[in-house]
Amino acid sequence: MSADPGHGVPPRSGDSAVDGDQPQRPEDRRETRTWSSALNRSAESNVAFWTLVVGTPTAFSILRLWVEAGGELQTTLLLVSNVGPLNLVAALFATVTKPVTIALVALFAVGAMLRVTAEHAPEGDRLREHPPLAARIAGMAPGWLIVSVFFLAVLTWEIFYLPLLLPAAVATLQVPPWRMYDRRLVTPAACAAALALYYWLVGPAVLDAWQGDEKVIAVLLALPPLVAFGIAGPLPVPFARGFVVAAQAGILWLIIQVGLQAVSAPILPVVVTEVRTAEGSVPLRGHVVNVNDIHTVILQEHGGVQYVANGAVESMVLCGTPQEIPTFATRVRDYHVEDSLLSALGRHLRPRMEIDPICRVSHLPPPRPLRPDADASPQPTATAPPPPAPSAEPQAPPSPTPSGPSPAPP
Amino acid sequence: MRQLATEGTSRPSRRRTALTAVSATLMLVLVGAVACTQDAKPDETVESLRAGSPTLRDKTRWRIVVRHSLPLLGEQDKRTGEYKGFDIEIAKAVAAELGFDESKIDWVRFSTNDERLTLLQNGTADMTVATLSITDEREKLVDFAGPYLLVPQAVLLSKRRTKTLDTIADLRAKNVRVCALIGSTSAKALETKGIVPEHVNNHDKCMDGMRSGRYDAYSTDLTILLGFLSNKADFDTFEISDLAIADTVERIGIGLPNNDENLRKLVSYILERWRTGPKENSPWLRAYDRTIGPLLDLKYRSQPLVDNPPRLADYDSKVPRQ
Repeated sequence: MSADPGHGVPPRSGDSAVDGDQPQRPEDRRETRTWSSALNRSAESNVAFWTLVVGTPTAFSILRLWVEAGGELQTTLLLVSNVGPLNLVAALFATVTKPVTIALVALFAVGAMLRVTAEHAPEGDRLREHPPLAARIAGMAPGWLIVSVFFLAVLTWEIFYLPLLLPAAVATLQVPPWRMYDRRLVTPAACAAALALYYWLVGPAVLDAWQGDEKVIAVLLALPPLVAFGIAGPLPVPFARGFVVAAQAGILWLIIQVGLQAVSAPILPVVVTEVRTAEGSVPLRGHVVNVNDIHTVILQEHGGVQYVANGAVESMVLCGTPQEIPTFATRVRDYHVEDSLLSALGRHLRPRMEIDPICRVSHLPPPRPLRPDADASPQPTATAPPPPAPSAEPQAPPSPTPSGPSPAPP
Repeated sequence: MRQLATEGTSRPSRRRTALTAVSATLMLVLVGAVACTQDAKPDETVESLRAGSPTLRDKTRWRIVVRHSLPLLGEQDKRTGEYKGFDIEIAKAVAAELGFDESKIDWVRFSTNDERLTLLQNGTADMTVATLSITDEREKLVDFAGPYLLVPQAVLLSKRRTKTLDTIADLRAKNVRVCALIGSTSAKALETKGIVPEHVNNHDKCMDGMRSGRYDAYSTDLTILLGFLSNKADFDTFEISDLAIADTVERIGIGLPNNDENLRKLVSYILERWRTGPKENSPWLRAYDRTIGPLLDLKYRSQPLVDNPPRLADYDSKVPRQ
């Protein structure tokens, strides 16, 4: 990595730039000591780090089971006994990768900006003497971690977030795009070509978004590459003092969001199970916790667990949730902006999607108590624990009317 | 590299740091914009319209007014009791998209044409798919989604009379008896051409009258006449004339209870999605090809433009279009 000579970005400790034979200035030596000691501390806390890496997902997994169970102890224990730890961690990885990478990318970008600002602050300035926490943490991050996080971000972020990775990467590297290489004519030309290619790629989507009253999407697609050209380099010190507070508060907010998402993201898919009852077929919307020889155990979306005799189960359908319905309609080259690259590629692999009619009408709470058809279910149905009272009086389904001629009205 | 390190500590220009500050501010604004999109909700979704529709809300079964004696359009099999035809296929597909599979549909029959509207008005039915033309007068009584079919008016003649009744003027003759349904578009079109039809209240009466020789001509939608001609005996006896009795085509739509704008939008959205979606998945084309398509000219094999279709978000809104 080369530094930008015009903007005076010093290399990190350990870079060859500070290992040369030129005598170091006192401030450089102090800086080297600071970063070396930080690295030493990092090595010493290696065990603690890996304990955290393994322990945090486990702890979050237990917490999210608690939330998923609706706060009921018995239901939590039922989930614990039926959800495999590997599935739990895999589900956690699938749902939390995006928020975690958002928080880390923000940390790396802000940290690098603050680090370089601190290094260029005047002697004796508080910013220089006590670099902000984000700068110190980001400075300790190994290169492989930064690359991995950006790679995961490219795969898992929504497409309309992706342009933000350009200025974030430039801020993290602290190298302006046109100074990536020393050949001063070639690199700006490559930058111009890349920019032209980018706008060719997203240009129609920007226009669509603007005309379709989705201006925020238009701005988020169009502006970030331009921001990338100006973001490398130190900030003015007076500006940096305010920026430190705002940016670090933002990162803290992001970390809290990650935590919340980690404990509230669903673990099991939403399934609508049609159960044959004495009153007719009733759809149960929820998560199938377990299927054994006798019962299908369903954690209902509205709360409570239903043990349904297998003989009374007529059908099961996988359904979406309202949270999955996109807010925007813009597409970049037929890739929906709210899809991640991974999701979009998957959709192009299997483009058809059927919405089963039962998913539409299954939002109604089922009648209570649910009485599966006696002929179909020799085993009694247990309801444990009793579900919370519904907000509205549940409606018993009307007696089934055979498809056929209805009497003509008078 | 040593040179870079030395240069690295040099103080950047004021202009350069100002540019960085502007860029950093812009970046914060962009991140803020992203944060705002997290709480944004789509303006209208299929689910929100469903929840806001008084007709759909809390419904577990769906009542549809259909024809029961029109071959190829809406006909009940006398042996099995099963309903079939183009309108039936369209009704089933719309109901399925609304959340009601075939087992949750109650077919509602009617005896006079006006009942297609009154059954919706008095709450006996939730939807009418029964070759109901969209007209200004009917728009005041019920809501319409569509059109889902454009059909011209046509005249059915006995093969023995095609040579003697080959102009509009021939139909005006006093000894020529023309049958049309009360209040139908055909009846009005005939009257504007100076032809006085005999009014009846259902298609079977016209067709029976044609068979018995009571009527010389019978005017109605082309698709309805084609349906009757699917009967071998009628096909051998009658034929459809080239006479243009109306200057415009009929816009056949789906009738819905008045003042339920959410339901109208939903059904319009469903029809528009079929029209703009992949042809191989189009329930409209499937219904057309299975029923009236083989008998109609190729120019009718495209779903008509839908009036005022809304832009709605749904579970499948991210699915690739191409």
